[in-house]
Amino acid sequence: MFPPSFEYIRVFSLSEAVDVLSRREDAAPLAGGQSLIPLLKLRVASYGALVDIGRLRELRYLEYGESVKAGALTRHHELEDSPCGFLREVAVRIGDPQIRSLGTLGGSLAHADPAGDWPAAMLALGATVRVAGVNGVREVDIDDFIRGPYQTALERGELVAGMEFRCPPRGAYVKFARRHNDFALAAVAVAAEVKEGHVVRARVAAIGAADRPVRLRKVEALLAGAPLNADTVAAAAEAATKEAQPPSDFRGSAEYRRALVGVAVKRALARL
Amino acid sequence: MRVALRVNGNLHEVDVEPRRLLVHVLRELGYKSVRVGCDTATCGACTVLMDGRPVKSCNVLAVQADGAEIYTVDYSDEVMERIREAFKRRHAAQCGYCTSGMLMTAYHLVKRGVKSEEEIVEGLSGVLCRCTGYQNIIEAVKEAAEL
Repeated sequence: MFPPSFEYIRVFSLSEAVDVLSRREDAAPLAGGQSLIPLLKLRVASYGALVDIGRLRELRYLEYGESVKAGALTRHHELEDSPCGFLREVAVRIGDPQIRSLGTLGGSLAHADPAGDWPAAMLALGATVRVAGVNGVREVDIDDFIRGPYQTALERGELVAGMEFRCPPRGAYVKFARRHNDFALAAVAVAAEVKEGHVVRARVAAIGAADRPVRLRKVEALLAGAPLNADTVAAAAEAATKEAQPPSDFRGSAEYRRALVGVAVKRALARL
Repeated sequence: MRVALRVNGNLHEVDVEPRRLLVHVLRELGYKSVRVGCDTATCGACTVLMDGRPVKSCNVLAVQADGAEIYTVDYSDEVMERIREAFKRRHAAQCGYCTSGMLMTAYHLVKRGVKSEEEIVEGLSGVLCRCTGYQNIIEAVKEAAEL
């Protein structure tokens, strides 16, 4: 198999990239290609032109300070040994080492696969997404960025330039898949602050609880201010099971996913 | 488009159509050890090292690899020889189809100083073996990594 013919445009600056993407309706950005190339090969997607942004230095940065600033071209594998434990946990659950060599953070967010690991993780982190377009860079809250399955706030000619978030003091990522690191049947990402045995605040995001990654807001409300003990964990898992409205597909039924979301919440909280 | 690839130390400059995949270009250059397996980025038989990292060459466009240093399983150095010997001793190949992918990922693991069996198992998870089972392969990598 190989992709249908396309024009290949290698760009050398971000402004050149957004310029081409805004002028050509049939163009798509190519970063690592780990989701895009299979879609092209399967002829699920087809573009007149691919704009290769993979060599843009402007999108290749990773800074750890008060907040974490990650460029769109940060490869998954670069986070496998991150000083931020939560990022490490997520990174090692993505695909396999080969996919992680090339797949990018920005690509994962822009593709917005409902089973994608980074969109859920970024929801838990409350990340700010930096979106580049012909008029410059705008910032979009992750809660507004994911609009549906494979749908984002990106408009034509725009691409993800990077993201910014705080590394959570406590975090956990629990994922269930049919085989090791396959697309998640269900997964739960928790980013929390815990003081003196109590959850100060927690953001809880799930894969497999809706047609897209979503925050489990009832679970978050239940956790805020609660003591981090077995009763709270059990109540949160129960609440997650009720809040989840999972889809059924060939990987698993809604009922099964609902149960998995509950178990994932329980295990994630137990690891905080 | 003109693409430069350094494969196992040999420089090649080739004209490729942008939609051509790295695996096909490598095979046409004569590197037939790079297998087309599932062709859907699942099985890992087509794994090569690209600038030091394992990639599935059926899931990379040749134009993306322009300027890259590629190692296929024909590459030889002391570490690779050690891994090959360990694969032989441990009977880590049966039909052999996954072997080139296994050797390349094993090479990456040993080079980066893999420290535990758990890391080996995770590290090999992108290559599927359908006949020997994985245990002998894991044993071989452990031996090569001196674990």
